[in-house]
Amino acid sequence: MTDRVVKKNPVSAKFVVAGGFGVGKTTFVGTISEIDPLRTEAKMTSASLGVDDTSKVATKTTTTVAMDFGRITIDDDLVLYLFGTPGQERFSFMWNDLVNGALGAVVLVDSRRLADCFYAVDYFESRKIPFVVAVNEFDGMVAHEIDAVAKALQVGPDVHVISCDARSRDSVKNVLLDLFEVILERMMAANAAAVTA
Amino acid sequence: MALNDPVEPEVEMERDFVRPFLATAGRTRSSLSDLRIETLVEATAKLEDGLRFEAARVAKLCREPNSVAEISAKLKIPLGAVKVIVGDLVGSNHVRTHKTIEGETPEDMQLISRLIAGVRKL
Repeated sequence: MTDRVVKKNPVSAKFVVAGGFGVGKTTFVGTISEIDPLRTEAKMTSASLGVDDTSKVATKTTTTVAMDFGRITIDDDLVLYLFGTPGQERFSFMWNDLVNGALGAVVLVDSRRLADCFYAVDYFESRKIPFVVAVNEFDGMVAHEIDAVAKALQVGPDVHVISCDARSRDSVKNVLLDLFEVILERMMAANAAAVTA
Repeated sequence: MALNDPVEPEVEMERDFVRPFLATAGRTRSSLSDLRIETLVEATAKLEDGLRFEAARVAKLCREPNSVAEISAKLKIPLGAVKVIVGDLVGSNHVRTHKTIEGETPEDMQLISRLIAGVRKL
């Protein structure tokens, strides 16, 4: 019979993990996800890449851009998704679809390749999307570098720059909790401003 | 060094999975403009009889709520095509979509608080 019990009305929330190629985004997602990270693919023709020259139709190719993501079921009616951005800047055209509706983002940083995260920082900053910067510890070499990273990124004092180990569940949890607090604070401030206005 | 992403997004030429335009009868836009990759899709009580191909598989998978991204990953259907199919299935009342948290309402603040409590307990 088909009478399924339609239970509740689950809601979902999306967070994005951004950063350069090989910085550990999928590791970060996999460490906390209840499922092995899944991979979803979107097909793009070269036309979607900004090429709009009909003389090139014959050579138009389809590329596939992949994103890895994980899921955390908080309870029966609240589900959290963590999406890793495609690692290379040339896929940045994918970001609007990916980031649209995201509550916040983690920018994962490898301090040896700091420039790789500039695009992500600029992107979230300009769109006023709450984010935290998490410096992934490669060979545990990071603690003293946090201040230097914050300085080099030229982010405002309200942007948290913290260290993390993408392989450690507790560490990933702390990064997410930090981000959630930032989001909550911002919402409360916006709410208070709305009340006073 | 185990820290590198084991599977990093990649570009590849078209592989042998479903031709998206076949699954969607040539359409590239969903009838639902607010469908996001994290939107949960859940089957209604309506019979799946009469549905074919991808639409039938999507409806079946969504007996348990699955996000648009999960549908895409589990059934190996590209995201854009999933959106079109889900749009159709909503139109025919085979599935319904659930809300996403946008962080804009006071209720959303409570949900964020629940997220914090939930993740803390992990």
